[in-house]
This record gives sequence, structure tokens and C-alpha cells, in this order.
Amino acid sequence: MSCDFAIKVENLSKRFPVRRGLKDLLSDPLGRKSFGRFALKNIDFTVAKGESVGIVGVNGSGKSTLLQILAGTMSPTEGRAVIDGTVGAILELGAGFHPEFTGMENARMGLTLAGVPEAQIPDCLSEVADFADIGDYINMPVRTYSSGMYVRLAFSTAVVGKPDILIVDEALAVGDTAFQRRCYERMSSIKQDGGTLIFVSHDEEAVRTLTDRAVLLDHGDQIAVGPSDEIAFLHRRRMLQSPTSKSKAGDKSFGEDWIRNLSCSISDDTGAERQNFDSGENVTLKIGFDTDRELRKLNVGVRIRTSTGVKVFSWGTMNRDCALGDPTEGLWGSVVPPGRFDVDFRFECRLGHGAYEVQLILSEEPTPDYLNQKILRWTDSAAIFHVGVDVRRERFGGFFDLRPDVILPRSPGPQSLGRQV
Amino acid sequence: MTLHISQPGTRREIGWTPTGWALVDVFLVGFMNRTLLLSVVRRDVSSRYKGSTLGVLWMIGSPLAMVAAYSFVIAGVFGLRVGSGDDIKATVVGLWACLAAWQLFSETANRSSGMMFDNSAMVKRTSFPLALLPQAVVLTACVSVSVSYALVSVIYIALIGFPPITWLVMPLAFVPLALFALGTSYLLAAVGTFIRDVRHAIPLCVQVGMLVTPILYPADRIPSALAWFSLLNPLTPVFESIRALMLGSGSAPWERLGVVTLVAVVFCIGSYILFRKRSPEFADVV
Repeated sequence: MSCDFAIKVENLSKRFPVRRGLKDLLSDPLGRKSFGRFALKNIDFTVAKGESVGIVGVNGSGKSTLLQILAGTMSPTEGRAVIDGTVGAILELGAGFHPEFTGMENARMGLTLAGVPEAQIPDCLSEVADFADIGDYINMPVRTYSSGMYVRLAFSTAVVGKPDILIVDEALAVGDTAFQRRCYERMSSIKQDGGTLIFVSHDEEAVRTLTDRAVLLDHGDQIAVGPSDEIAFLHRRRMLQSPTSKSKAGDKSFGEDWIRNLSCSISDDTGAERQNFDSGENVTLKIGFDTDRELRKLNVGVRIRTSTGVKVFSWGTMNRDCALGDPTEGLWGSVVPPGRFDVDFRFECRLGHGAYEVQLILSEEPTPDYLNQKILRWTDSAAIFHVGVDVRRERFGGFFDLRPDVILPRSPGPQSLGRQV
Repeated sequence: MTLHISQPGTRREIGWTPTGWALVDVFLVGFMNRTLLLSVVRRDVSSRYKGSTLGVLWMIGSPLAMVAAYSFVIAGVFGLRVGSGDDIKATVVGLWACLAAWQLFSETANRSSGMMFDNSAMVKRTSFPLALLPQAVVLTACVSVSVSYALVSVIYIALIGFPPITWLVMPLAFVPLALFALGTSYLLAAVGTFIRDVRHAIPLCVQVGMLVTPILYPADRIPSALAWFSLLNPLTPVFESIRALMLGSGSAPWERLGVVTLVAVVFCIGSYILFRKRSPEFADVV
């Protein structure tokens, strides 16, 4: 039997049993009637085959519970989830590893539990050892492992069996960058082979880069389903609004109503609006907004990010104000009256080839050190521009043109170099 | 084939799909998943002494020490003797055989109520067929019992001589014992996961159980005023049989052993049904 979807979640709810005291024990010995609050409530979405879907939400939003239900190790209280295909799951670190056994022994057990036939296990084990790449540690008890080695082994064990659906919890964050990259490569190759990926994180950037679509959960409620970048944006906005967010100021709000039309256009030196630039050209970000109230201690900030979400630059007018020596002489020290306010950021574009996103942040900075920042307004994807590298003029790879000087030993002089070219 | 519907009261499990007939399933689930079951047992046995310096020597040393202590009290201080005359050797060997057999039950009972907590990663994170866990516990206990029995056999041959022919039918007495252990394991695992107090009650019950079952003493020493109690205890015929068959003295109470075996089968099936019904909810509470 085969379906056109990989996972179909239908009106799924989960409540955990709670029992308090002797009275509950006597009236309901097996804890069937007394339920706590909803850990998941009316979750409903479909994942197509070959699709990759992220699940985002702050801690305690029900992500892990949902994963366990998808993996089939936990049953829902109401509704159902239909899963078509074998599932490889990395639910938290090292599912079921026994600390006293070696990596190899644990991997063997893990493969058996993943349903890998006995005959294929030796081949798979050598593949696990290759992929985990933890050297001799593979034959040492896993209690001697670092958490990074642990997750390497766990991930390797989970992917080697080539599951139809790969479920990855936040565990990957522990691995080092090189390993993370290999994991991402492996995940995309699983995707290319028609596999389905479910990726869970509270880091919206990782979700945005890895997945096509995402589901946002909050306190068990399904807030939204949609394209990953939209969901990531929504998630960030909600995080900033939430009083439990990790930001220290309790009254930080996302988007004051009395600031409107925070936007940005991009133009070149002639003043013409453009979206494509060559590296080395001048770019002007024309930022503007309307305010109904007087603003003091204002900082207008920009963040420039690559299409994969890597922040290449973040800066604000207060940086310039501070560079003046006395920040009170700059925008930070002045009063912005109600009405329209415009500011231009002009810079020489030394970025490498690619598409870049501009985020705008309007903040009030009670102190000139960003420590007491209160976000007034935040706009994601305020503008997008593309940079091409003109190979006749500039030639470099990567994000940024560092324009290094070249100092040669025993100074043969630039002329001799020039002749050789 | 690979379609799974996760809905109330389900758990995705790998391996053999149970038929739904508890009578068949309870015995087949271990056999059909024998590779998985044996790998758990192997791991269980080898993990027990892993990391300790003496390792497997503990497996031999601890029953020896236990028997020595009980022999000191029972045969030495209280001067109890079984069989004809004043045979201290037979007394000690009989005591040893019964204590070792009791270990099958006590070890299983002690490990069962907290089983799901001890294996919480397996319960919550993997599709391991949970019905194998009690079977694995019983099999692991069987391994320790076998070691004890190997020892007691050597001692018997060394002290007393050629073993009686009745040794050949001894496994028959172990059938109801193992079934009771398995049923207890399923029952305690199901109940103990939801009611944690069970964990504290079990060691006490096991201790009391050992004292009221004819293990340290032969059944014929029980005063007639208390005889009704040993009649109610389903394990009485098991230990009577083990002692008789081990020493080759007298015959085993076969009829009562047969009845007890039937009771054990029913108990086992009942416990298994309860366990299966509740096992999808284990992940909620561990």
C-alpha cells in the first residue's frame, strides 16, 4: 500500500496523565481519567513524500511530543497520524545507548532496533564507523564519549539504515561544524532520493535553510503552517513578544503600532533604484518610517544576511554616533519629532556573489552600548539585492572582499610580477 | 507494509506482528523475535558485571556466599536436616537447589516493576517490542540460575556421588516456576509503571515470599495448623518437587504440579493481556 503523502496528521491531540495523592490512586489506579493540560491540541498537517518540513517552537511547545507520536513510540490521546514508510528517528541524544557498551555494540543494537536485517548489519556497521568518524573511540564504551561523539554515533546509526522518513530532533546542535555540514549533506541526499525529512529546532535559521515548509507550535497549539521563511519570521516575532523570551527586558515588544511603514529601498549613486549590483559599486539603502510619537535615543539598525540566513553584517546608527566620540552629538542624542523620518546608509558593496536580505531594526537604546535595547519595530526582508562579481575588475570568492595587500619576500617589486601575468 | 497509523492505544513496534490471540502471542512473541530477544539478554547478562574488576566471578561467587550463609543458619545453628538420618550434605544441596530456583522468581520480580523506567530510552525513543522485555528479564534470570545449578551439580557429584536419575525430569518443575515468573513480570511491569509505590513493596513481598515458601525447610516440617497456607501457595509443589528430584528422595507431587502449571499458564496470559493493553501508554509516564 502506498500513499501520496509521507505523513498525514489529523486533528491530533495529546494530554499526559497526572495523578495526585492517594485519592486519585484509589479512584483511578491506572491513571486513565485524570489528564493534565494539552501538550498538543488539534494538530493537523500533511507532509508530501520528498518534502522537508521543520517544526519550530519555543521550549515546551510540544515539538518533542509530536515527534514521538510521529515516530510511533507514543500514542496520541485523540486524532491520528498516518505515517507511510520506515522511520529513522534521532529523538534526543543517543536513543537507547547503553553507557557501558562500545560504540560498535550500541550501533549494532541501534541498527537492529531500526529494523535492519541481520545480514546487512556488518556492512551497515562499517558505514556507521566511516560516517561517525570518531576513530578508535568506536570501540570504547560510550560513557567515555564527549557529547559531540555521542551525537555523531547516534546520527550515523539513524541514517545508515536509509529510512524513508528521517526525523531529527535538535540533537545536531552538539556536533561540530564539519560534522553538521556532513549531516546536512546526508539529509539533502536522503531528500533527493525521495526521502522525507522532519527537522525540529527552536533555531529558526536552521529550519529556514533546511526545510521547505514549517509548522509553528506554541503551548501545544498549531499556530501556523507555511513556507519556512514565513514561519521563521512569525516565530521570531512571537519570541520577541513573548514575556518568557530569553531577552532580558520584559517589556520588549515587537512592532509598536505608532511606528509605521518601516521600509527600505535600494539605489545606486545616480539615485536610480536597483536591485543588481556589481561588487565594488556603491549602494545606498534608503530607510524611512512614520512615527506618531517623539523618539529619543533612537538607533536605526540594519542586518544583511545571505540567502542561507548567515548574518554577514549588522550595524546601526548608534555605532556611528559612538564613533563620533560623544554619542549625544549624533542621532542618538537628538530628538526625532513625530512625522516622517528618512535616513540613508551608503556603502561600497564589497560583498561576494549572491542574494542578500536586508532586515531593519528600530530600537530605543537607553544606554549607548546596546545592553538595554528595546526593539521598537522590526522588519524582515525589507529589501533584497543581488551582487554579481565582475570578473574583469574584481576576482575573489566567498562572502566578502577583504582586499588584502600582498607583501612578497625580498621585494622583487611589482613590475616583475606584472610582466609575468 | 510500512504504513503505520499512530492513534490512541497504539505503539509502532518492529519485528513480528502479534496475532492478537494472547494465548499464542505470549509464547510466540519471544520465539518469533528471537534475534532481538537474545541480543537484549546477551546485553543484559554482559552489562551486569561490565566495568567491575572481578566480572563474571561475581556470578559464581554470590550464590556460593548466599548458600554458605543460609547453610550456616539453617543446617548449622537450627540443625535442620532433610532426608534420612543426619545427612548434612543432602540438607545443604537441597537448600542450594531451592535457593537457586527461588532466584529465578525473586530476580524477575525485583527487576520487573521498574523495568520501563530502567529502559525508558527504549520505551520512548525506539520501536522495540516492549513485550520482549519481561521475557528478557526471565531469560537473564535463567542464565544466573543455570550457573548456580552447574555449581550445585558439581558439588553434588563431589560430595554425594553419582546423581540420581530423577535429575532428568527436573526441568518439568521449572516450567510452572518460569511461567509464574513471566506472568509476575508482565503484571508488575504493567502495574508498576503506573503506580510507583509497587517498586517499594516488591522487595518486601519477595522476602516474605521466600520465608513462607518451603525453600529453607521441607514442606513436611510445616505444622498441620499452618498446612492450609502452604496448600494455597502455588509455589509449594514446585519447591517440594525440586528438593525431591534433586536428592532423588521420594517422588514429586506430580498431580499438584500439573494443576499449578495450568494456573501459571492462565496467570501468564492474563498478565500479558493487561501488559499489552497498557503498553502504548508507558511512554507517557516513564
